Amino acid sequence: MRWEEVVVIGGGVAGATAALAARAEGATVTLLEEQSAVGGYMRWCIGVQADVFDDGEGRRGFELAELLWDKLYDAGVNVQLRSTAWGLFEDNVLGVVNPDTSYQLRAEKIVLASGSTDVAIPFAGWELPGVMTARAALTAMNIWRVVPGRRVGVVGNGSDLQEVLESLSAAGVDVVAHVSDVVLAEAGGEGSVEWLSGNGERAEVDAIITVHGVQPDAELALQGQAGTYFSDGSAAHVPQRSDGLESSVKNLWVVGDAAGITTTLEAAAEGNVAGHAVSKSKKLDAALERLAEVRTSAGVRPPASIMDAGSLRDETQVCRCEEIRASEVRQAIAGGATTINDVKRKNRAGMGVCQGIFCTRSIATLIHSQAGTSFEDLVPMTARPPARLIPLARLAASED
Amino acid sequence: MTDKDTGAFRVSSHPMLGERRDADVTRVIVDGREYHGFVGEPIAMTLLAHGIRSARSTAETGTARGYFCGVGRCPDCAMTVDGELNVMTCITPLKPGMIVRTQQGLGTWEEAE
Repeated sequence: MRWEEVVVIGGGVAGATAALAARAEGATVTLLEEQSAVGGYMRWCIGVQADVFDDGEGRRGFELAELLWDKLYDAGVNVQLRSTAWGLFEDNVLGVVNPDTSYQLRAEKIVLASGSTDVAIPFAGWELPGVMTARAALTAMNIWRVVPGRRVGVVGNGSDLQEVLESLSAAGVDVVAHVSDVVLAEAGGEGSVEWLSGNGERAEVDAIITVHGVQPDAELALQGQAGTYFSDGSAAHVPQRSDGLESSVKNLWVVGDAAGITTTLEAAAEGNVAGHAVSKSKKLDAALERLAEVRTSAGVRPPASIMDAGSLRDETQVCRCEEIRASEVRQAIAGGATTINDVKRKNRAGMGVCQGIFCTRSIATLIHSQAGTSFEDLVPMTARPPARLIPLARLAASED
Repeated sequence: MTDKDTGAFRVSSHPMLGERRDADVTRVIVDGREYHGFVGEPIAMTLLAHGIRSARSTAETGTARGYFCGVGRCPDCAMTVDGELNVMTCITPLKPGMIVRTQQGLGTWEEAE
């Protein structure tokens, strides 16, 4: 088993900031980044971002991502790309997999900065090829310079709408239809998406981008049994934290979007606090002051859209992985299911590869509307490793 | 290389990202047909650039799925690549000469090589 002093999971703004602060205070820091570059959300954004380093430079998202990489490299942070922490076990032991090997890693202190995932809201035809989330489309356009289509439809009006529309325009793609209320959206086509309608009139499209905002993604903290509460600001259950951003699990800090949807400035200020906390820095108080200041001045990022349960058609799939339709979830609730775990036990909804990240919000909303359970009581389903789809052969090649 | 060789859905010149710095071009076989893509880009991007939107059909209802979450969380872009089943093409880099196949459900032993 490997051992590290400080392990940061996620190289977005929050994670990179935490790693930089801890390193500057003398800690040895390893940063695990699942993707092929650091920068997280910033990598696929072309819009000008908040002034994270307070130097007056108005950087676009991808420029900020590149700067984070330069700073991490210069500071001597051990950055491991394409490295996925898929499990958090007792005593801060992580299961990690990369393209070559898998290994266990015991960390004295962990900063979880796993960021967000796009919210998905079911509508008729949303499972057709050509329909994709905002970050899938932004990744294609702004990192890989491939456009989703030439006649694109947009569904939803989440917090990333501006970024999506600017990116489409910059790439020279026409938006032929925008259905801002997902309740009205309907898509169809043979083999892949061909049309989108909002109010009955069909527009010919070759791709649809769904834009509903983002949700905190702290699956490893849930695996580690961290206590959670329902945050109205994020419209989601998120890890409880101390003033110093430590979770209820000892030596596990959670920062940035993973702990609740934040602005970019707040994510950086949180990372800075955690970095000073894990390195027992004398500057922790100053970092805490800065965070308090940012929280009062930087505004808030709006929570993701919530599905309208009443208008969801029976035949629409809610759980894409296991192909469970709304009717089946409704039957499960009518049959006595009152929790997300109950629904999963009855029909496998939420049991698929995505670990429920794209359906449990919808299932919670269906239970809330049909059985009257409050969102506070609709706790996330039990999180079990692995957090990602990993070939068994890769785990079997473990060095342990 | 011209845009035509690597797909019609590329953006070569971009007002903010600038001119594209092309990587090496490689041949890739998708369901028996020859295409070209850039080494190192996710396989799903090579396909999307050629307007190939469907990656697999589902196990239960056999309906088509494609690139959806883009970040390795959902199973919808999983394909059979060089005989390996369930490869998430959105996060797997294209290597020279890959053979990519549309996958039926969770894949079959016959598909795996």
